[in-house]
Amino acid sequence: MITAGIDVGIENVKVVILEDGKAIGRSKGRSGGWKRLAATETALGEALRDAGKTAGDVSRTVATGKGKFDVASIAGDVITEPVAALKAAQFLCQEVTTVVDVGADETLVASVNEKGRIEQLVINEKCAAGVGSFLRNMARRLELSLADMDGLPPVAPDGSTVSDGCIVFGELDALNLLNNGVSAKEVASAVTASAVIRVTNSINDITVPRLDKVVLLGGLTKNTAFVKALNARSKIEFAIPEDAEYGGALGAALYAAGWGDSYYMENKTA
Amino acid sequence: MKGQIWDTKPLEYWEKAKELRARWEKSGDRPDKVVGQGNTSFIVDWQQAFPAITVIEDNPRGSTIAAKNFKEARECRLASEIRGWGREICGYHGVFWGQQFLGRQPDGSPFAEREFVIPFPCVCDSHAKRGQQCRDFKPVPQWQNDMTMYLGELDERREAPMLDHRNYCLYKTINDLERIFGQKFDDEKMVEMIRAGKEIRKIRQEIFIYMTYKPAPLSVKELYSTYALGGLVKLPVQEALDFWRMVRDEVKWRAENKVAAVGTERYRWMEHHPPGYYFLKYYRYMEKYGAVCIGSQYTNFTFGALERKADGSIGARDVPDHPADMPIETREDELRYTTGADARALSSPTFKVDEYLRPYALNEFADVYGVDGALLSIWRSGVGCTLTRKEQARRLRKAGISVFHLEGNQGGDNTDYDEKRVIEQLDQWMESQGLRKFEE
Repeated sequence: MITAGIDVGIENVKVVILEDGKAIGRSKGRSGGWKRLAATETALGEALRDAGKTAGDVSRTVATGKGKFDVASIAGDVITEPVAALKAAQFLCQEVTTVVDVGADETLVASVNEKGRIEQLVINEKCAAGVGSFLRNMARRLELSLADMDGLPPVAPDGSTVSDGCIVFGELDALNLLNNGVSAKEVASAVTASAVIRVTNSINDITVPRLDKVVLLGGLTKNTAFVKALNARSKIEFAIPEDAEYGGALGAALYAAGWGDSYYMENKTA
Repeated sequence: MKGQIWDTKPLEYWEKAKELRARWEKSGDRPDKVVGQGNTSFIVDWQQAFPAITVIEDNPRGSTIAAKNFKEARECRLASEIRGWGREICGYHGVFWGQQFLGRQPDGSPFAEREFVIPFPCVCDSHAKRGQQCRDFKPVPQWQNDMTMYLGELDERREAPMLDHRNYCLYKTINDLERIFGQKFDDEKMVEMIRAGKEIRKIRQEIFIYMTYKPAPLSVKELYSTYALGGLVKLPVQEALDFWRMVRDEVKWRAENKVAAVGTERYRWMEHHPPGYYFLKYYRYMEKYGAVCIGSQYTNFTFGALERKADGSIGARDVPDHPADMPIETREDELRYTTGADARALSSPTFKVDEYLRPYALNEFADVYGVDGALLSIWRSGVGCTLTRKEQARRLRKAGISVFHLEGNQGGDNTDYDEKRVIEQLDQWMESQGLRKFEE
C-alpha cells in the first residue's frame, strides 16, 4: 500500500511517500502563503518522482500542519499536529516517551504513556510562537548560514541576551546589540538561547515528565546550534531520527496507512 | 444527530427563562422608580425591600452585548476607552458604561441615567472601580461597601470585627438610601426574601449535584442562560423561587431518566472563570467531539460549591455558615445574614470563598464532576484574570486531567482574540485525547 503524508507548515510544505511501512520519497518546498495549494502540488509531484511513483499509485493522502485545510482538494483526510508527531515518533523510535516538535510557528510537547497514547500535551502560548521563523529571520539579518552557526556556544560568551518572551522584543534587543557593536555570532548565540528558553518552558510545563527517550522533530532539528543549546539548557539528550524534519508528513502518511486508526476512541463513552 | 449516545430533548423551562431575562433587560426603563446601578444581591437582593428603587447589575448586560453584538460592543468599549478607561478594566464594564457615554441601549432606546451607584463590594480589584464611570458622568452618590477579607485558615480574631464592619457598611447604605430618596426599607419583605433566598440556594445545590450525573442533564450552555436569574439578574423573589423550583424539578427528572443535555457526551471538560462571551460557539464546537462543558467554579460553585465527603458521597461544601435556625427578627439580623458568616467569603457563603481555596478548588471541582479535561483561559486582564492559572493547570495535570489554555484579552473584550488559532488548538487538544469529530 502506498500512501502520502503532507505537512503544510507556515514556512515549508513537506511530503513523504510511504510504501509498506517504508518512506520511499520525500520533498520539501516553501509553503507559499496564498499559493499554498500550488506549492503543495509541486512538493507532492517531486516526492512522487523521488519515489518513482505516480499519483495514481497512491491509495490515500492525509494532511497535517497549520495549512492542512488549504489542501483539502489533495488530501482525503486531515489529522492534527500532535497526533502526527506522535505517530512519526513512535515509528522512528519505538521506545519514545516524549515527543518535542519545534516548527516555524508552533512548539508542541507531548508525553506518551505506557499505552502509547498522549498523556500530556503542551503547546506554546501565543506570545511564544514563531520560534523557527524567528531564528531563520535573525540568521538572515545576521548574514549567518546554518553552517556558520554550527559552532556557536549555547549562550553568548559576553553575556548578551535578548528577550525570551516575545520575538518582536527579541528582534529589537538583537538589533540594539548589533548597533552597540556586539558581533553577529554573539548576537546569534543570544538569539538562539532565547528560542531555547521558550521551548524548554513548554517542556517544563509537563508535570509528570517522561524523559527516558525524548524524540525531537521539526525543521529546527537541522539547526545544530539550536539543538546543542537545547540539550545544554534542558539537560535532555534528544533522539533525533534521520527523518526528524519530515516528522509531521511522515505521521500523516502513517495515519493514511492505517497506523493511527486505533488512536481514536470512537466508541468511548462518558 | 451523528454520534448520538444518549437521549436528549429541549429544556421545558427555556421559554420561561427567556421571558424573565427579556423583562430584566428592560428593567432600567422604569420612570416610576429611582434607577441605581450596582450590585445588591447574592443570596438576598436587598434593594427589593425599597418600594420604588431598582438597581441594575452591569455584568449580565455587558456580557450579553459582548456576546450578541460585536459592533455595538466595540463602539461601547471605544466610548469608554476615549474617556480613559483602558483595557485593564473589566470588558463587561467597558461595554456597559459605553452605553452610558453613548446615551443609548443596544436597541437604540435611551440609556436611563443613574441616580446612585453601589459598586460591587470587592476588596482590591477592578470591581471597586465600577462606580467611578457613573460618578464622573453625573454627580450622583456612591456607596462603596467595604468588603474586608483575608486569606488562609479561619481566624476568629479577624472574623467578628470584619463581619461587623461589613454589616455597618450595608446598614449605612440602607439608612442613607431611606434618607436621600425618602423611601422606607421594608424589613418584613426583607425577611421574606431571606427565607426564599435560603430555599433558592438549597435548590441550586441540588441542581449542581444532579449535574454530576452522567450524562449531564445540563451543560454550561444552559447554565449561562439561567444561572444569573434571581441573582445578578434581579427578579421578584417569589418569581425567582418559582423559577428555580421549575428548573430543579426538570433537571431531577432528566438526571434520573438519563436525558442528556448533549446527546453525544463521551468526554467531560471544565473551565475556570467566565468564557469569552464573543465566542460562546466553542461549546457547540466541542460537542462535535462529544465533549461537554460541565461548568466552572464561576457557574456551579457560585451558589452551590460541592465537595466529596469522607464517605465518598458528593454534597454541599462544608463552609462556615449561619445556623439554619438563626433568628431573623431585627434589621441587624437581616444584614448579618446577608453579609455572610465567613469573612474569607464574599457575601454568600460560597462565592469567592475559593479565593483561599482556589489552588485546590479546581481539583475538587474536577473530582466531583468527574471531568476528563480542563480549558483554563489566560486573559490579559479584567474579570477572571490569570493569576495562579498556570499553577492550577499543573495541579490538574498532576491529577491526570488534561489541561489546555485559551488565550485572549478578557471575557467581554475580543480585541486580542484569535478565533482561528483557538479552533485549531481545540482540534489539537481533542485529537490528542483520542477523539475525532462526529461530524463537520
